[in-house]
Amino acid sequence: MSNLKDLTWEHHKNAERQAFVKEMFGGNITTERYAMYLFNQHPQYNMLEMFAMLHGLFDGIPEIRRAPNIHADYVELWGDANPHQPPLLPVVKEYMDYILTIKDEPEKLMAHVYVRHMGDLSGGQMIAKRVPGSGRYYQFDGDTEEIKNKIREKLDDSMAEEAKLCFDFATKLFQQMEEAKEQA
Amino acid sequence: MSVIWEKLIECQNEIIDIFEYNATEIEEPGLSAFNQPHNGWINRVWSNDSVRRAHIDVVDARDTKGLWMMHVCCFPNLNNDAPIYGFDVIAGKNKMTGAFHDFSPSCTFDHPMIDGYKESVEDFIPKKQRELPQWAKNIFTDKMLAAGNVNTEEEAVAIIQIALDNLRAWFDEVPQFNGCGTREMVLASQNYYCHNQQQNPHTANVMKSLGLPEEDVEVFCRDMLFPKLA
Repeated sequence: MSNLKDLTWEHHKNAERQAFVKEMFGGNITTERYAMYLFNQHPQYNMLEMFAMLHGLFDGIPEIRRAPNIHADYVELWGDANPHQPPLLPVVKEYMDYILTIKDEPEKLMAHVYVRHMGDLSGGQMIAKRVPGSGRYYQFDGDTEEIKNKIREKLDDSMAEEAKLCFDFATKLFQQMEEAKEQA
Repeated sequence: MSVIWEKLIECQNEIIDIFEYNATEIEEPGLSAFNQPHNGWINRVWSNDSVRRAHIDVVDARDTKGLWMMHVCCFPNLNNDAPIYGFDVIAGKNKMTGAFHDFSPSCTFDHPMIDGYKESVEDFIPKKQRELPQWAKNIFTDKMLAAGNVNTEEEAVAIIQIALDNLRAWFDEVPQFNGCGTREMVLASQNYYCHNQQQNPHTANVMKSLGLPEEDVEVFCRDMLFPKLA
């Protein structure tokens, strides 16, 4: 049993303190804002999941792949016909560049899967009810508790530092979402 | 007095005892105007280090309208991610027309207290399950106890017992989760709960039908029943 939750507590809580999280959890996010969030999440998940799958990290849990669902949600909310795209936030490229630097380190990649996919299976289930659209992002084939247990089997405490980094990237995304709102 | 009303008034007194035992009664600004026991309208609030608001609201219109209504709602503090306790009943002389009870999630569905709640209601299947409107689906668990047309003493007592046992358990367990919630998330989540509760058109309509002044009911439902935090 890993103690990743305790070891990463402060970084996790710092991410949750961001105003953008409050916007989502309060059920106040507009369709446009949420579509922008999905647009920025999609390439990050896609790259992480591509390398995770190459290393077999999704073996036994293929249902945790999120990128296609995120994209489907984005298309539903933003529309295929819309000639404009939402702005791509600077942290997205930064994160993708970072994932490239750890693409051959499955343990580090797994730490990111822990932060992102376990989050989607936990708090994400709550967010699903409070955001616009069908919420495919948070729909998993199978029992979420069982899937979480399968992910836990692939974790260990040595992943804590990398998981903290992932939480910090998430915090940065939330901050940039907030800045984009202020600038609009 | 009818058996159903007798059991419900015992339940009301038990709830006040549980609040008294676990918390301190507070005078919430503006609430005293709606606490008129002589008119059959009770509104009292308690709090402690882990619970920011434990509220009981009773409208006793047995003599005038043949109806009795109770609303109980308890919110944890804003650093606490525990679920929100809710228990609502409306009853005529011979039956509970509606009884609702839930541990409604704040920031997460997979909270240990919700797991415990679900176990507590697992074996309780009311004879008549109610279909819930969207605002209710947004905030209640999939194991919300929602019963209508409860006309036997046995079933009424079973519902009351679950609600009371769970209220005691709620007060016992909530302190363990102090510090587990992030203020921003808990506040947003509790406001989301209140926002959805405020969409319930029946609350104000029922209170007005019980003979409460229309202007009082409007203010009460907005500012006192499910008040949002800034």
